Amino acid sequence: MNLNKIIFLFSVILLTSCQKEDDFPELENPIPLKPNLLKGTWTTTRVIQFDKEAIDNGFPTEIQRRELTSLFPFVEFKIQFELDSSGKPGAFTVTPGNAPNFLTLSSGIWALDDYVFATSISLTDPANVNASSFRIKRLESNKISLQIVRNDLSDNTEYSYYEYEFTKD
Amino acid sequence: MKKLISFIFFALILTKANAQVVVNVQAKPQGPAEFISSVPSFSFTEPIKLVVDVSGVPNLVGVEPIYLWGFIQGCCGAPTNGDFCDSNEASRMTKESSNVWSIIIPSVKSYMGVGFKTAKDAAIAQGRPSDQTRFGFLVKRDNGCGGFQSNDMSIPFTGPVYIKTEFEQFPANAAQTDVITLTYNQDLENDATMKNQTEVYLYATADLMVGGSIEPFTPAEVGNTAALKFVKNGSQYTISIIPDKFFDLQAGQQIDKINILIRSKSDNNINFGPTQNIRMVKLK
Repeated sequence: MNLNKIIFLFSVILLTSCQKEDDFPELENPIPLKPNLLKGTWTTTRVIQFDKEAIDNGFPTEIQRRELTSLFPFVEFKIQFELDSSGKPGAFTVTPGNAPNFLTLSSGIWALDDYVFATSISLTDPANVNASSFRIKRLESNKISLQIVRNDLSDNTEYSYYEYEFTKD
Repeated sequence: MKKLISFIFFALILTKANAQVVVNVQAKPQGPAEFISSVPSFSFTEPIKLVVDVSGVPNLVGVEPIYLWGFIQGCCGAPTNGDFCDSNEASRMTKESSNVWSIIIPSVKSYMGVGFKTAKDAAIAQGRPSDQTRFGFLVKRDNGCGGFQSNDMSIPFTGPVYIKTEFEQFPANAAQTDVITLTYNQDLENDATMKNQTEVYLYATADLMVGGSIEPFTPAEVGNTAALKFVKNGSQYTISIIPDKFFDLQAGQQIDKINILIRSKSDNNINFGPTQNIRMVKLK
Protein backbone atom coordinates (compact mmCIF):
# COMPACT_ATOMS: atom_id res chain seq x y z
CA MET A 1 0.00 0.00 0.00
CA ASN A 2 1.61 3.26 -1.05
CA LEU A 3 1.57 6.50 0.95
CA ASN A 4 -1.21 8.11 -1.14
CA LYS A 5 -3.55 5.19 -0.47
CA ILE A 6 -2.79 5.31 3.25
CA ILE A 7 -3.46 9.07 3.36
CA PHE A 8 -6.68 8.58 1.39
CA LEU A 9 -7.94 5.84 3.72
CA PHE A 10 -6.98 7.86 6.79
CA SER A 11 -8.89 10.86 5.40
CA VAL A 12 -11.99 8.75 4.74
CA ILE A 13 -11.92 7.33 8.27
CA LEU A 14 -11.41 10.78 9.76
CA LEU A 15 -14.22 12.28 7.68
CA THR A 16 -16.60 9.47 8.55
CA SER A 17 -15.91 9.71 12.25
CA CYS A 18 -16.33 13.50 12.20
CA GLN A 19 -19.67 13.18 10.41
CA LYS A 20 -20.86 10.65 12.96
CA GLU A 21 -19.82 12.91 15.82
CA ASP A 22 -21.63 15.93 14.40
CA ASP A 23 -24.82 14.42 13.07
CA PHE A 24 -25.42 11.07 14.68
CA PRO A 25 -24.35 10.85 18.31
CA GLU A 26 -23.25 7.55 19.73
CA LEU A 27 -25.79 5.26 21.34
CA GLU A 28 -25.01 6.31 24.82
CA ASN A 29 -26.88 7.87 27.62
CA PRO A 30 -26.41 10.72 28.36
CA ILE A 31 -26.46 11.76 24.74
CA PRO A 32 -24.80 14.80 23.19
CA LEU A 33 -28.08 15.73 21.53
CA LYS A 34 -28.28 18.98 19.66
CA PRO A 35 -31.73 20.49 19.07
CA ASN A 36 -31.12 20.54 15.35
CA LEU A 37 -30.96 16.75 15.31
CA LEU A 38 -34.54 16.56 16.52
CA LYS A 39 -35.93 19.14 14.13
CA GLY A 40 -38.46 17.61 11.77
CA THR A 41 -41.30 15.11 11.76
CA TRP A 42 -40.84 11.69 13.30
CA THR A 43 -43.06 8.68 12.64
CA THR A 44 -43.45 5.74 14.99
CA THR A 45 -42.08 2.46 13.71
CA ARG A 46 -42.19 0.39 16.89
CA VAL A 47 -43.68 0.53 20.40
CA ILE A 48 -42.77 -1.79 23.26
CA GLN A 49 -44.32 -1.65 26.70
CA PHE A 50 -42.18 -2.53 29.73
CA ASP A 51 -43.26 -3.68 33.20
CA LYS A 52 -40.92 -2.04 35.68
CA GLU A 53 -41.85 -4.43 38.47
CA ALA A 54 -41.02 -7.46 36.33
CA ILE A 55 -37.72 -5.84 35.33
CA ASP A 56 -36.84 -5.05 38.94
CA ASN A 57 -37.77 -8.57 39.96
CA GLY A 58 -35.48 -10.02 37.31
CA PHE A 59 -38.31 -11.99 35.70
CA PRO A 60 -37.80 -13.57 32.23
CA THR A 61 -37.56 -11.12 29.32
CA GLU A 62 -40.91 -12.16 27.86
CA ILE A 63 -42.53 -11.22 31.18
CA GLN A 64 -40.78 -7.85 31.27
CA ARG A 65 -41.94 -6.53 27.88
CA ARG A 66 -44.73 -6.63 25.30
CA GLU A 67 -44.58 -5.61 21.67
CA LEU A 68 -47.52 -3.30 20.98
CA THR A 69 -46.75 -2.08 17.47
CA SER A 70 -49.33 -4.16 15.65
CA LEU A 71 -51.96 -4.16 18.40
CA PHE A 72 -52.88 -0.52 17.90
CA PRO A 73 -52.28 1.77 14.90
CA PHE A 74 -49.09 3.20 16.37
CA VAL A 75 -47.56 3.71 12.92
CA GLU A 76 -49.97 6.64 12.54
CA PHE A 77 -48.41 8.37 15.54
CA LYS A 78 -46.18 11.29 14.52
CA ILE A 79 -44.46 14.08 16.39
CA GLN A 80 -42.96 17.20 14.90
CA PHE A 81 -40.22 19.17 16.64
CA GLU A 82 -39.59 22.71 15.45
CA LEU A 83 -36.86 25.22 16.30
CA ASP A 84 -37.38 28.87 17.10
CA SER A 85 -35.74 31.64 15.12
CA SER A 86 -32.55 31.35 17.16
CA GLY A 87 -32.22 27.62 16.54
CA LYS A 88 -33.37 26.60 19.99
CA PRO A 89 -36.20 24.16 20.75
CA GLY A 90 -39.56 25.65 19.86
CA ALA A 91 -42.97 24.21 19.18
CA PHE A 92 -43.96 20.57 18.94
CA THR A 93 -47.05 18.97 17.47
CA VAL A 94 -48.31 15.44 18.05
CA THR A 95 -50.43 13.84 15.36
CA PRO A 96 -51.59 10.57 16.91
CA GLY A 97 -53.90 9.46 14.10
CA ASN A 98 -55.88 6.58 15.58
CA ALA A 99 -53.06 5.55 17.91
CA PRO A 100 -53.25 6.08 21.67
CA ASN A 101 -51.47 9.23 22.82
CA PHE A 102 -49.76 8.47 26.11
CA LEU A 103 -48.28 11.96 26.19
CA THR A 104 -51.68 13.43 27.17
CA LEU A 105 -50.99 16.64 25.25
CA SER A 106 -50.72 17.27 21.56
CA SER A 107 -48.95 20.59 21.11
CA GLY A 108 -46.84 23.13 22.92
CA ILE A 109 -43.18 23.86 23.58
CA TRP A 110 -40.36 21.34 23.89
CA ALA A 111 -37.02 21.61 25.66
CA LEU A 112 -34.00 19.50 26.49
CA ASP A 113 -32.92 19.01 30.09
CA ASP A 114 -29.31 19.60 29.12
CA TYR A 115 -27.90 21.01 25.94
CA VAL A 116 -24.62 19.16 26.23
CA PHE A 117 -25.79 15.76 27.47
CA ALA A 118 -29.54 15.49 27.21
CA THR A 119 -31.40 12.70 28.97
CA SER A 120 -34.95 13.90 28.48
CA ILE A 121 -37.21 16.02 26.32
CA SER A 122 -39.81 17.97 28.25
CA LEU A 123 -43.11 18.89 26.62
CA THR A 124 -45.34 21.67 27.92
CA ASP A 125 -48.66 22.80 26.56
CA PRO A 126 -49.14 26.44 25.43
CA ALA A 127 -50.96 27.38 28.64
CA ASN A 128 -48.13 25.84 30.67
CA VAL A 129 -50.65 23.75 32.61
CA ASN A 130 -49.97 20.21 31.41
CA ALA A 131 -46.57 18.70 30.95
CA SER A 132 -45.15 15.45 29.75
CA SER A 133 -41.77 14.18 28.75
CA PHE A 134 -39.74 11.66 26.85
CA ARG A 135 -36.78 9.87 28.37
CA ILE A 136 -34.12 9.62 25.69
CA LYS A 137 -32.98 6.06 25.16
CA ARG A 138 -31.07 5.99 21.92
CA LEU A 139 -30.26 8.13 18.92
CA GLU A 140 -28.80 6.87 15.69
CA SER A 141 -28.83 8.21 12.17
CA ASN A 142 -32.45 9.14 11.42
CA LYS A 143 -33.85 7.02 14.24
CA ILE A 144 -34.51 7.85 17.84
CA SER A 145 -35.84 5.78 20.73
CA LEU A 146 -37.79 7.66 23.36
CA GLN A 147 -39.53 6.38 26.47
CA ILE A 148 -42.74 7.62 28.02
CA VAL A 149 -42.52 6.83 31.71
CA ARG A 150 -45.59 6.03 33.82
CA ASN A 151 -45.51 6.88 37.51
CA ASP A 152 -47.95 5.81 40.19
CA LEU A 153 -49.64 8.81 41.76
CA SER A 154 -49.76 7.21 45.21
CA ASP A 155 -46.02 6.87 45.72
CA ASN A 156 -44.54 8.46 42.60
CA THR A 157 -42.76 5.27 41.62
CA GLU A 158 -42.22 4.22 38.05
CA TYR A 159 -44.35 1.19 37.29
CA SER A 160 -44.15 0.99 33.51
CA TYR A 161 -42.84 2.70 30.41
CA TYR A 162 -43.47 2.71 26.67
CA GLU A 163 -40.49 2.74 24.38
CA TYR A 164 -41.12 4.35 20.99
CA GLU A 165 -38.83 3.96 18.04
CA PHE A 166 -39.24 6.90 15.66
CA THR A 167 -37.89 7.37 12.15
CA LYS A 168 -37.44 10.82 10.68
CA ASP A 169 -39.68 11.52 7.69
CA MET B 1 -69.98 -23.29 30.70
CA LYS B 2 -68.10 -20.52 32.19
CA LYS B 3 -64.87 -19.82 33.91
CA LEU B 4 -64.35 -17.23 36.55
CA ILE B 5 -60.79 -16.05 36.50
CA SER B 6 -58.95 -17.05 39.60
CA PHE B 7 -56.25 -14.59 40.44
CA ILE B 8 -53.70 -17.04 41.59
CA PHE B 9 -51.34 -14.20 42.46
CA PHE B 10 -53.79 -12.98 45.04
CA ALA B 11 -54.38 -16.48 46.33
CA LEU B 12 -50.66 -17.05 46.66
CA ILE B 13 -50.18 -13.77 48.45
CA LEU B 14 -53.00 -14.57 50.87
CA THR B 15 -51.69 -18.07 51.43
CA LYS B 16 -48.22 -16.75 52.07
CA ALA B 17 -49.61 -14.09 54.38
CA ASN B 18 -50.98 -16.82 56.57
CA ALA B 19 -47.83 -18.92 56.37
CA GLN B 20 -45.42 -16.33 57.63
CA VAL B 21 -41.80 -17.27 58.14
CA VAL B 22 -40.56 -16.91 61.72
CA VAL B 23 -36.98 -15.71 62.08
CA ASN B 24 -35.46 -15.98 65.56
CA VAL B 25 -32.22 -14.14 66.29
CA GLN B 26 -30.11 -13.43 69.34
CA ALA B 27 -28.95 -9.83 69.49
CA LYS B 28 -25.46 -8.96 70.71
CA PRO B 29 -24.07 -5.77 72.24
CA GLN B 30 -23.10 -2.96 69.90
CA GLY B 31 -19.97 -4.04 68.09
CA PRO B 32 -19.06 -5.95 64.95
CA ALA B 33 -21.86 -6.49 62.44
CA GLU B 34 -23.09 -10.06 62.24
CA PHE B 35 -24.44 -11.92 59.22
CA ILE B 36 -26.86 -14.60 60.42
CA SER B 37 -27.16 -17.19 57.68
CA SER B 38 -28.88 -19.89 59.71
CA VAL B 39 -32.41 -18.58 59.32
CA PRO B 40 -35.38 -20.07 57.43
CA SER B 41 -35.40 -19.14 53.76
CA PHE B 42 -37.76 -16.34 52.74
CA SER B 43 -38.19 -14.24 49.64
CA PHE B 44 -38.21 -10.50 49.02
CA THR B 45 -42.00 -10.47 48.85
CA GLU B 46 -42.77 -12.88 51.69
CA PRO B 47 -43.96 -11.83 55.16
CA ILE B 48 -41.73 -12.64 58.10
CA LYS B 49 -42.05 -12.46 61.85
CA LEU B 50 -38.74 -11.26 63.22
CA VAL B 51 -38.21 -12.34 66.85
CA VAL B 52 -35.24 -10.79 68.63
CA ASP B 53 -33.87 -11.82 72.03
CA VAL B 54 -32.08 -8.87 73.64
CA SER B 55 -31.08 -10.65 76.85
CA GLY B 56 -27.47 -10.55 75.68
CA VAL B 57 -27.45 -6.77 75.24
CA PRO B 58 -26.90 -5.13 78.67
CA ASN B 59 -28.08 -1.70 77.46
CA LEU B 60 -31.41 -3.18 76.32
CA VAL B 61 -32.11 -5.71 79.06
CA GLY B 62 -35.32 -4.69 80.79
CA VAL B 63 -35.88 -1.75 78.41
CA GLU B 64 -39.45 -1.38 77.13
CA PRO B 65 -40.46 -0.96 74.43
CA ILE B 66 -37.88 -2.01 71.86
CA TYR B 67 -37.80 -0.68 68.29
CA LEU B 68 -36.52 -2.09 65.03
CA TRP B 69 -34.12 -0.12 62.85
CA GLY B 70 -34.14 -1.63 59.35
CA PHE B 71 -31.76 -1.07 56.46
CA ILE B 72 -30.24 -2.57 53.38
CA GLN B 73 -26.53 -1.97 53.49
CA GLY B 74 -25.36 0.15 50.60
CA CYS B 75 -28.89 1.18 49.79
CA CYS B 76 -31.11 2.73 52.33
CA GLY B 77 -32.86 2.76 55.65
CA ALA B 78 -36.45 1.71 56.23
CA PRO B 79 -38.88 4.61 55.72
CA THR B 80 -40.44 3.86 59.13
CA ASN B 81 -37.18 4.09 61.09
CA GLY B 82 -37.66 7.65 62.25
CA ASP B 83 -34.80 9.41 64.02
CA PHE B 84 -32.20 7.29 65.79
CA CYS B 85 -32.75 9.39 68.93
CA ASP B 86 -36.54 9.14 68.52
CA SER B 87 -37.84 6.05 66.71
CA ASN B 88 -40.99 6.06 64.67
CA GLU B 89 -43.85 4.24 66.40
CA ALA B 90 -44.37 2.18 63.23
CA SER B 91 -41.14 0.34 64.06
CA ARG B 92 -42.16 -0.45 67.64
CA MET B 93 -41.88 -4.16 68.44
CA THR B 94 -44.23 -6.40 70.38
CA LYS B 95 -43.16 -7.99 73.63
CA GLU B 96 -43.19 -11.77 73.35
CA SER B 97 -41.70 -12.49 76.77
CA SER B 98 -39.05 -11.02 79.04
CA ASN B 99 -36.38 -9.45 76.77
CA VAL B 100 -37.84 -11.07 73.64
CA TRP B 101 -39.42 -8.77 71.07
CA SER B 102 -41.04 -9.36 67.70
CA ILE B 103 -42.28 -7.45 64.69
CA ILE B 104 -44.18 -8.51 61.57
CA ILE B 105 -42.55 -7.39 58.35
CA PRO B 106 -45.12 -7.74 55.52
CA SER B 107 -42.20 -8.15 53.14
CA VAL B 108 -38.73 -6.71 52.79
CA LYS B 109 -40.04 -5.05 49.64
CA SER B 110 -42.83 -3.16 51.39
CA TYR B 111 -40.88 -2.52 54.60
CA MET B 112 -37.92 -1.03 52.75
CA GLY B 113 -39.98 0.56 50.00
CA VAL B 114 -37.60 -0.48 47.23
CA GLY B 115 -37.71 -2.83 44.26
CA PHE B 116 -35.67 -6.00 44.12
CA LYS B 117 -33.28 -4.51 41.60
CA THR B 118 -32.29 -1.85 44.11
CA ALA B 119 -31.62 -4.48 46.75
CA LYS B 120 -29.69 -6.57 44.25
CA ASP B 121 -27.63 -3.61 43.06
CA ALA B 122 -26.71 -2.87 46.67
CA ALA B 123 -25.69 -6.49 47.16
CA ILE B 124 -23.55 -6.39 44.02
CA ALA B 125 -21.91 -3.19 45.24
CA GLN B 126 -21.05 -4.94 48.51
CA GLY B 127 -19.21 -7.62 46.55
CA ARG B 128 -20.81 -10.51 48.41
CA PRO B 129 -20.59 -14.13 47.27
CA SER B 130 -23.31 -14.72 44.67
CA ASP B 131 -24.40 -11.11 45.22
CA GLN B 132 -26.51 -12.32 48.12
CA THR B 133 -29.31 -9.93 49.08
CA ARG B 134 -29.62 -9.23 52.79
CA PHE B 135 -31.99 -7.41 55.13
CA GLY B 136 -30.09 -5.51 57.79
CA PHE B 137 -31.39 -4.39 61.16
CA LEU B 138 -30.61 -3.61 64.75
CA VAL B 139 -32.88 -3.22 67.73
CA LYS B 140 -32.80 -0.21 70.01
CA ARG B 141 -34.41 1.87 72.68
CA ASP B 142 -36.82 4.57 71.49
CA ASN B 143 -33.92 6.98 71.96
CA GLY B 144 -31.08 4.83 70.71
CA CYS B 145 -28.49 7.56 70.90
CA GLY B 146 -25.72 6.95 73.39
CA GLY B 147 -25.31 3.27 72.60
CA PHE B 148 -28.74 1.97 73.56
CA GLN B 149 -28.79 -0.43 70.67
CA SER B 150 -27.73 -3.89 69.58
CA ASN B 151 -25.13 -4.78 67.00
CA ASP B 152 -25.94 -4.60 63.30
CA MET B 153 -27.40 -7.88 62.08
CA SER B 154 -28.34 -9.05 58.62
CA ILE B 155 -30.26 -12.03 57.27
CA PRO B 156 -30.41 -13.31 53.67
CA PHE B 157 -33.47 -13.20 51.46
CA THR B 158 -34.10 -14.56 47.99
CA GLY B 159 -35.51 -12.74 44.99
CA PRO B 160 -39.10 -12.98 43.83
CA VAL B 161 -39.68 -15.91 41.52
CA TYR B 162 -41.89 -15.72 38.45
CA ILE B 163 -44.63 -18.34 38.59
CA LYS B 164 -46.74 -18.81 35.49
CA THR B 165 -50.42 -18.68 36.35
CA GLU B 166 -53.65 -19.37 34.51
CA PHE B 167 -54.47 -15.68 34.28
CA GLU B 168 -51.88 -12.93 33.99
CA GLN B 169 -52.05 -9.18 33.76
CA PHE B 170 -49.42 -7.09 31.97
CA PRO B 171 -48.11 -4.80 33.26
CA ALA B 172 -48.56 -5.83 36.88
CA ASN B 173 -49.71 -2.29 37.63
CA ALA B 174 -51.58 -0.13 35.15
CA ALA B 175 -53.65 3.01 34.96
CA GLN B 176 -56.90 3.30 33.06
CA THR B 177 -55.14 5.04 30.19
CA ASP B 178 -52.54 2.28 29.83
CA VAL B 179 -52.52 -0.69 27.53
CA ILE B 180 -53.34 -3.75 29.62
CA THR B 181 -52.73 -7.18 28.17
CA LEU B 182 -54.62 -10.09 29.67
CA THR B 183 -53.25 -13.58 29.18
CA TYR B 184 -55.12 -16.82 29.64
CA ASN B 185 -52.81 -19.83 29.90
CA GLN B 186 -55.13 -22.65 28.93
CA ASP B 187 -52.52 -25.30 29.71
CA LEU B 188 -53.02 -24.48 33.39
CA GLU B 189 -56.80 -24.73 33.15
CA ASN B 190 -58.50 -27.20 35.48
CA ASP B 191 -62.04 -26.89 34.13
CA ALA B 192 -62.52 -29.65 31.55
CA THR B 193 -64.94 -27.63 29.42
CA MET B 194 -62.81 -24.51 29.27
CA LYS B 195 -59.71 -26.58 28.61
CA ASN B 196 -61.24 -27.74 25.32
CA GLN B 197 -62.31 -24.32 24.06
CA THR B 198 -60.58 -23.07 20.93
CA GLU B 199 -62.14 -19.62 21.19
CA VAL B 200 -62.29 -17.61 24.40
CA TYR B 201 -63.87 -14.21 24.95
CA LEU B 202 -63.61 -11.36 27.41
CA TYR B 203 -66.52 -10.11 29.46
CA ALA B 204 -65.65 -7.07 31.56
CA THR B 205 -67.30 -4.45 33.72
CA ALA B 206 -65.74 -1.45 35.42
CA ASP B 207 -66.69 -0.20 38.89
CA LEU B 208 -66.32 3.56 39.13
CA MET B 209 -64.81 5.50 42.03
CA VAL B 210 -68.00 7.50 42.41
CA GLY B 211 -70.10 4.35 42.45
CA GLY B 212 -71.95 2.54 39.72
CA SER B 213 -70.47 0.39 37.00
CA ILE B 214 -70.10 0.26 33.24
CA GLU B 215 -70.89 -2.78 31.13
CA PRO B 216 -69.78 -2.00 27.56
CA PHE B 217 -70.95 -5.34 26.20
CA THR B 218 -73.79 -7.43 27.60
CA PRO B 219 -73.22 -11.17 28.11
CA ALA B 220 -75.35 -11.84 25.05
CA GLU B 221 -73.15 -9.60 22.89
CA VAL B 222 -69.77 -10.90 24.03
CA GLY B 223 -69.60 -14.08 21.98
CA ASN B 224 -70.62 -12.19 18.85
CA THR B 225 -68.11 -9.36 19.20
CA ALA B 226 -64.83 -9.99 17.40
CA ALA B 227 -63.01 -7.32 19.41
CA LEU B 228 -63.58 -9.35 22.58
CA LYS B 229 -62.06 -12.53 21.22
CA PHE B 230 -58.66 -13.46 22.63
CA VAL B 231 -55.82 -14.05 20.17
CA LYS B 232 -54.71 -17.67 20.30
CA ASN B 233 -51.06 -18.62 20.24
CA GLY B 234 -50.77 -22.29 21.12
CA SER B 235 -52.28 -22.74 24.56
CA GLN B 236 -51.85 -19.06 25.34
CA TYR B 237 -54.62 -16.54 24.65
CA THR B 238 -54.14 -12.79 24.89
CA ILE B 239 -56.16 -9.64 24.51
CA SER B 240 -55.05 -6.03 24.97
CA ILE B 241 -57.34 -3.21 26.06
CA ILE B 242 -57.07 0.40 27.09
CA PRO B 243 -59.70 0.71 29.83
CA ASP B 244 -60.29 4.40 29.10
CA LYS B 245 -61.41 3.52 25.58
CA PHE B 246 -62.79 0.05 26.24
CA PHE B 247 -65.28 1.41 28.77
CA ASP B 248 -65.75 4.66 26.85
CA LEU B 249 -65.10 6.74 29.94
CA GLN B 250 -66.21 10.34 30.08
CA ALA B 251 -63.88 13.12 31.23
CA GLY B 252 -63.21 12.84 34.95
CA GLN B 253 -64.52 9.29 35.35
CA GLN B 254 -62.15 7.14 37.37
CA ILE B 255 -62.18 3.37 37.48
CA ASP B 256 -61.97 1.77 40.90
CA LYS B 257 -61.62 -1.79 39.66
CA ILE B 258 -62.26 -3.90 36.62
CA ASN B 259 -64.05 -7.21 36.91
CA ILE B 260 -63.31 -9.68 34.21
CA LEU B 261 -64.42 -13.07 33.08
CA ILE B 262 -62.85 -15.29 30.47
CA ARG B 263 -65.56 -17.35 28.87
CA SER B 264 -66.47 -19.48 25.91
CA LYS B 265 -68.22 -18.08 22.87
CA SER B 266 -71.66 -19.37 23.83
CA ASP B 267 -71.92 -19.02 27.59
CA ASN B 268 -73.96 -16.01 28.64
CA ASN B 269 -74.33 -16.96 32.27
CA ILE B 270 -72.07 -14.63 34.22
CA ASN B 271 -71.21 -14.65 37.91
CA PHE B 272 -68.51 -12.69 39.64
CA GLY B 273 -66.59 -13.64 42.72
CA PRO B 274 -65.44 -10.95 45.13
CA THR B 275 -61.80 -10.66 44.12
CA GLN B 276 -61.68 -10.95 40.33
CA ASN B 277 -60.31 -7.62 39.26
CA ILE B 278 -57.48 -6.00 37.45
CA ARG B 279 -55.04 -4.15 39.66
CA MET B 280 -55.24 -0.47 38.85
CA VAL B 281 -53.12 2.49 39.82
CA LYS B 282 -53.70 6.18 39.33
CA LEU B 283 -51.36 7.80 36.90
CA LYS B 284 -49.33 10.68 38.21
